[in-house]
Amino acid sequence: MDIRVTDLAKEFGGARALRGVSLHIRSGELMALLGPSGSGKTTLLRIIAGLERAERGSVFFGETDATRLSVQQRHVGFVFQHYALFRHMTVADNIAYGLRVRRRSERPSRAAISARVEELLALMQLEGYGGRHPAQLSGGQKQRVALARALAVDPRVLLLDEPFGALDAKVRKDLRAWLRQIHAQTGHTTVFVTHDQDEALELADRVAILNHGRIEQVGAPDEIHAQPASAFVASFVGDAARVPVRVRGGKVVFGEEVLEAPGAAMADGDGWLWLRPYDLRLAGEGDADAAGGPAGQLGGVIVGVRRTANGRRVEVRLHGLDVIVEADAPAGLSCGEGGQVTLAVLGGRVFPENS
Amino acid sequence: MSVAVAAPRRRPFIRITGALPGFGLALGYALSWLGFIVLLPLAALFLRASSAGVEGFAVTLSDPRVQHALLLSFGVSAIAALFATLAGVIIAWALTRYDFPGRRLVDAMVDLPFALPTAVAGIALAALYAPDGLLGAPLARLGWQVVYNPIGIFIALVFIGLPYAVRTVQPLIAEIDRELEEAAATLGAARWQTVFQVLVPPLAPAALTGLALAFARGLGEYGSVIFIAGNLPGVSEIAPLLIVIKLSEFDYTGATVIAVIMLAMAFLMLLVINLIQAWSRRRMGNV
Repeated sequence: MDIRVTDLAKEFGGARALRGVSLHIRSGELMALLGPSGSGKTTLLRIIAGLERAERGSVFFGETDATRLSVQQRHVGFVFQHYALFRHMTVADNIAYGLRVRRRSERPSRAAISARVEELLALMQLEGYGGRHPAQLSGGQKQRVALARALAVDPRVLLLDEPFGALDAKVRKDLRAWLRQIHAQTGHTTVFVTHDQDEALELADRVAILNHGRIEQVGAPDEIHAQPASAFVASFVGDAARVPVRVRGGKVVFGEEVLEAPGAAMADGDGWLWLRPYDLRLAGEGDADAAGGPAGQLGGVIVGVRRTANGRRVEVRLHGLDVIVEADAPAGLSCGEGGQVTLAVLGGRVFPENS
Repeated sequence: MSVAVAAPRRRPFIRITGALPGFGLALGYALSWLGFIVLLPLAALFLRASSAGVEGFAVTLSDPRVQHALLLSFGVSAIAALFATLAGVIIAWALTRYDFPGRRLVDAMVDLPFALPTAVAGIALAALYAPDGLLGAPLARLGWQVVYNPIGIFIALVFIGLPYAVRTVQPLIAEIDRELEEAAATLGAARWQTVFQVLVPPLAPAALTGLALAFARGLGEYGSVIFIAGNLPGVSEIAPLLIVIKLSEFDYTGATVIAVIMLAMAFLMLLVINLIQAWSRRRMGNV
């Protein structure tokens, strides 16, 4: 079932959490809401669930207008960051809770409920844990129980609020892969909130980037990373350095250099050129491949070399500026710290100064 | 006054490990304190009572006046503790979950029965509920007399026991996570289902602690009860009063026999409550 929200606005005591958010989440899609804290991503999720009410705008599940429906009537599955398991109930009772509270006419039989619980325990790889209490489980197990509980009622959509936020790095990673798998198996339209860009980019079919109560960009992870729609997205997602430039007639001017940088879709004026490490090719002065890139080149001096998990990262201070950009070091880099280098500009995005 | 509700972690008996110093000192102090202040006087009591012999116990116990006083004390204390616990949970709920003008004042007032000399409480309650009193008069017109009979004892004991019930559950109510209610709501639970199936059950161990405290306190209460009970032998005479009467008649053995019986019964009941509580804690996985 697809979810469509239009023009949602919400205030908390004068602070505007959402300022007119519209978003279409396709049926069966796994969508991430990504943004810094206070961007409104959790508020958006809670409004979709019915846990908060918007002052303006509407929420549609498929053809159903859910704006005025109560939480109970919306039939959503919701997973909380801190699990929110019922401590006094066993794992099995937690999972069965959503089925047991139904009216007698809609409630499955005792046998059907326990069959459903067993099925979900198996799906969550928690066979044999039904009789335990939440206090006896690890964080990762608790979150899986919480997910099983949400799925037990066969919700229209599945909503997860920072589902891995309280877990340590290793468990996070395992659960991430595993959530992807569950999603593939059950096919629920799923929305999850995160402030971890790796999580969003790795897991989601599409990512919505929020900032200050507005959606900055919605797109596939590759699209978000390669073609950020705003300076905020460029800075928030992935590593990027910004270089002050001027735009003149569609060309980007940096000092004396004229760069044919792509993405200069702005009127003439001052702006920032956002460069990701892979937008730059670095060569030592005098190295064989020190030729200019397709969009021009910049000169600078190496101020630091860092070892990363996948290679070496070089920090270069650009000539005439107090700007440090990062680039991946080529295998045969001849110079170290203090060495003069040229940076061939292969790509990058330009945004106006005040964006 | 605060009452600790967290279960102390069980440790193996006397094994000095860990970085926290002062184990020997603390244990020594605790044991000698318990010995001098609690166990020694109780031992003296038992010694004195044992001089009565089995026969003495049998004689005292077969006295209908004693039987009635014991039954009344335990019965009314239990009922009053139950009522105080019920009311206490609701009061604690209101004080913790809602913000209203004067909340802090009401919150402070809950502790008054702790501080008030109980005789003052008894006199005030008796005046209030007497047939010509502010609350007693309308009740009397309905044909209900609530003082100078067991109902009066009940009123006094609820007054005395209430703060124990409130203060033991209050910290737990404050800890209830709003997400629990939201989780229940997303699963389709109605408001009443959320309250009775999700929010209240975790309060049970603390409520039982409050119940035990209120019961124990009510059992030993003397000052407030004698002013409101009427103290008719066989009707509204409580066991602690009977002990005082025996003492004033220089029947020391009779007094200690009643005291020992009360002590044994109270200990037994508190033990049972503690066992239920331990069981309910374990059920929640707090091993």
